[in-house]
Amino acid sequence: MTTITTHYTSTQPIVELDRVSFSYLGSDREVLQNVSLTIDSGDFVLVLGSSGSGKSTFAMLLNGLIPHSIPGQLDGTVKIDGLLTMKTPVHELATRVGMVFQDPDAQIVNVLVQDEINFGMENLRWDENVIKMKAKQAMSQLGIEHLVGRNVMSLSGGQKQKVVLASVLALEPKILVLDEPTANLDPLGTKEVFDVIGHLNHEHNITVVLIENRVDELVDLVNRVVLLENGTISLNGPPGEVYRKLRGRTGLWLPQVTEMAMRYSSETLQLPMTVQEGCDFLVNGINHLQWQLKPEIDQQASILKTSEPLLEVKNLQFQYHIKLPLVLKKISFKIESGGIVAIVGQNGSGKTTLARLLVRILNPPVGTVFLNTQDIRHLSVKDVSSQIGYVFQNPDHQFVSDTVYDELAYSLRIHGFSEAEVEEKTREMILRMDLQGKEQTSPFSLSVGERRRLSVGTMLILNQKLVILDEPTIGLDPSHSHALMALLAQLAKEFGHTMLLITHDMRLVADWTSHTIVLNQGEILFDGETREVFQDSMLLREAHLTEPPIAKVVHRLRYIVPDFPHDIVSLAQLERIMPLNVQSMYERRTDYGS
Amino acid sequence: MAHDGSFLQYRSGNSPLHKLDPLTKLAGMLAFSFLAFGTYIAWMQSLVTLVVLLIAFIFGRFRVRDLIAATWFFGIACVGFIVIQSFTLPSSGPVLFRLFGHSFTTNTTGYAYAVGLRIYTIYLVSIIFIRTTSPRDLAVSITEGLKVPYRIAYSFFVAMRMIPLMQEEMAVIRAAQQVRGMGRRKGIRGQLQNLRQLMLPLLVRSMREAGTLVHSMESRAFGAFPTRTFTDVNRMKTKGKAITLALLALVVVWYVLVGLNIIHTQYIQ
Repeated sequence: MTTITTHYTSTQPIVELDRVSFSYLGSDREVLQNVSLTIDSGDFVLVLGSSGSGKSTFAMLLNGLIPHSIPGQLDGTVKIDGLLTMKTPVHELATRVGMVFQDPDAQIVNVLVQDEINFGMENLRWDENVIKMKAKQAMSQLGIEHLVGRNVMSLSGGQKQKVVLASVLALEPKILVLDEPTANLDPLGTKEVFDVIGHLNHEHNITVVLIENRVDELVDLVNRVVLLENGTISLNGPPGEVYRKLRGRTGLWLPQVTEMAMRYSSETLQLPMTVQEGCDFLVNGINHLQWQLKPEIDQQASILKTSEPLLEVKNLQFQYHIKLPLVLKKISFKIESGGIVAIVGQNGSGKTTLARLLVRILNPPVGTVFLNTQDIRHLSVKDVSSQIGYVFQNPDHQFVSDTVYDELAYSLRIHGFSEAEVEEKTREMILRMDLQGKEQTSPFSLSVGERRRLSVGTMLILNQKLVILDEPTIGLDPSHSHALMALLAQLAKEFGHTMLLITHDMRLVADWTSHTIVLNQGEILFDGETREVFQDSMLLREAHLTEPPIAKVVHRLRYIVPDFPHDIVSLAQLERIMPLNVQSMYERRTDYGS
Repeated sequence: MAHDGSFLQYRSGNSPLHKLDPLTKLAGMLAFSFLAFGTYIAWMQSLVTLVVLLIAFIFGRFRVRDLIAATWFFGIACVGFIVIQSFTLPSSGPVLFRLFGHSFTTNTTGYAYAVGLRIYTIYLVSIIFIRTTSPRDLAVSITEGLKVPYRIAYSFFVAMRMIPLMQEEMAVIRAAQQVRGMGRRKGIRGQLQNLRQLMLPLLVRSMREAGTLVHSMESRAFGAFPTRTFTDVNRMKTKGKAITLALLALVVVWYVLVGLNIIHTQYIQ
């Protein structure tokens, strides 16, 4: 079995970077340093790297935005399809390189779908009939013909990103450069976008350069991985080779199946990456193993059973306007003190509205939301904010101060803490959030990951009993993401805090939460133990959710090894029933999948 | 949550006004504004306003409720203006009624009413235009019809497109700051601080999004050439030309008649 999927025989380089260095105007720091790289026609390249490693700068080099639109000091040469970007205007490169950015709302220019798709072709002064024909073809490639005539504001995130893709594809580029195109999408939207990109690569031989953190969804598509660190390429090669070299390093995502294999094997095997390969890996190991048939898999933070729930929602119904449809339809649930609870569901399912009702940004009807048995409508907004923290999805929205220190100190000061306490708690949180040395920096000048950590810190600093976090790990690299989740778990376990996590990241849900609420079209489809969510394929389908790879591996495994516990959804749970000391079994084997 | 925009946004529709080309509507907006400008007599101004309202209801298919929602705030401001004018302008003509020792005369009150209604009418015409004209169509029309460079026309169009996004952004920032426990400060200094704390994140977010938008546009060759192709343009047709000419004639005739003192649009002592 091979773990590297090469879709195309390499023909000729379509991208050539030769000793490229770049620093932005007004800065001495080289964001990219001496980068040399060639990409062959038809490759599907995944670019990994932590926040600030130079990924977005790298992307903008490929379509000529650097140096033509973004000034700075560029050394070395970049050739795209044989053309030197330095000497080729951006509009000429536009028909060779299509660029898609993270936020569809920020890159859509027009109001109507067809106007957006026509936009690039109109700029290039193509004939009207040609434009209509190419637009039709692009829409057909992406399966969005039915969106003609729609206002882009009315589309889902996945649909908007497809419209952006269609607009770029209509120009018939040979290379697609995508900078975290699924960061704002739910699991369904993400799958739709990745499926489309994979199809374009496979069927239309379009070279893909994808900057992403979600590696699990891409293992079947990618044939090459490039790792950027501090502006240099530190690893470059087939995925299996790159992932093998990442063994033991923190701060980068690995496919969950690969991570599993690394935990059980210290040898330089060909690592499994796909679900089937992971299944084969376990089957071969299981022949030599014993596992606990009744595993105790109550993970991370156990819920403290109390006589009264911390939060109770009773028949909560909400609509923004009498003429608009209900966003929440008489939902009821209880949340106990302590633990991490996930609220999941596709975009538009009512998650954010629910969170806003819980903190009284929106007013819930009287008698529907109770915090420690008190109706929150009888509490002032300030009282609610002192008991419930809410970390917004976009950190920028919450900043109110000019420096990182003041930002963290703000909540303490308005709640009357003494200046000595303010200083002590603020310093402690700066350390916890790994923001040392940034105390006097403006919050808005921080990197994406630092802004995210600061926003979480501003909410944790008050020690509220309930903290709602809306996609808290977006923009964080894996080491910071893990550190943040570990901190939340610690607060939940040791101090009885309750963390309510709104997320689309199913791996995060499986790894860290004990209790999950699934919302779908304003109704609760499921309210119970997290591991049960991933056992119910009907539920997953109905709520448009996906399982983490480990859960998929275990599902397949139960057909081969019927008595293997089938409710494993995370690596931590797997380790509980298959302790790591069994790794010697694997070390003697190198042919797990053959 | 996706919605169809605020009162100051285009709303898609199928009414005759939606189908009419933007330049004809622009001509209509200007024509009725000129008519309103040149009228100081209450009944005449009322007639102009009534015609505009009928156009909104019949050809724009506006609902009464929507029109009230879009104009009530401005309407109240105009009523305030009428009241102040009635009190402060010198009295002229027969006394209509007395209030708080002040005599309200037909000419003065009528003049104040006409001026207030004029402001409301011009606002109303603008609302009808904005709500029935796609910004993109307008940008295309002024590029093709009025020969405005498309880069300039598009910057106006993009700004219009960004308004609802910024409104949503502002609402989110307010909510986020409320969660931080930030109360609304009072007094001028406090209000300025409130504004600063609201505007800074909005400005930073807008700058970031504007940067992405510019890169997205440039990477799709925007501005590469002095001209560009426009597809599906709602160009001025015979009907539009006829309406524009008729409106132009109406305005010219109106002002000529006024200039020749054949009709009076203001009260004469």
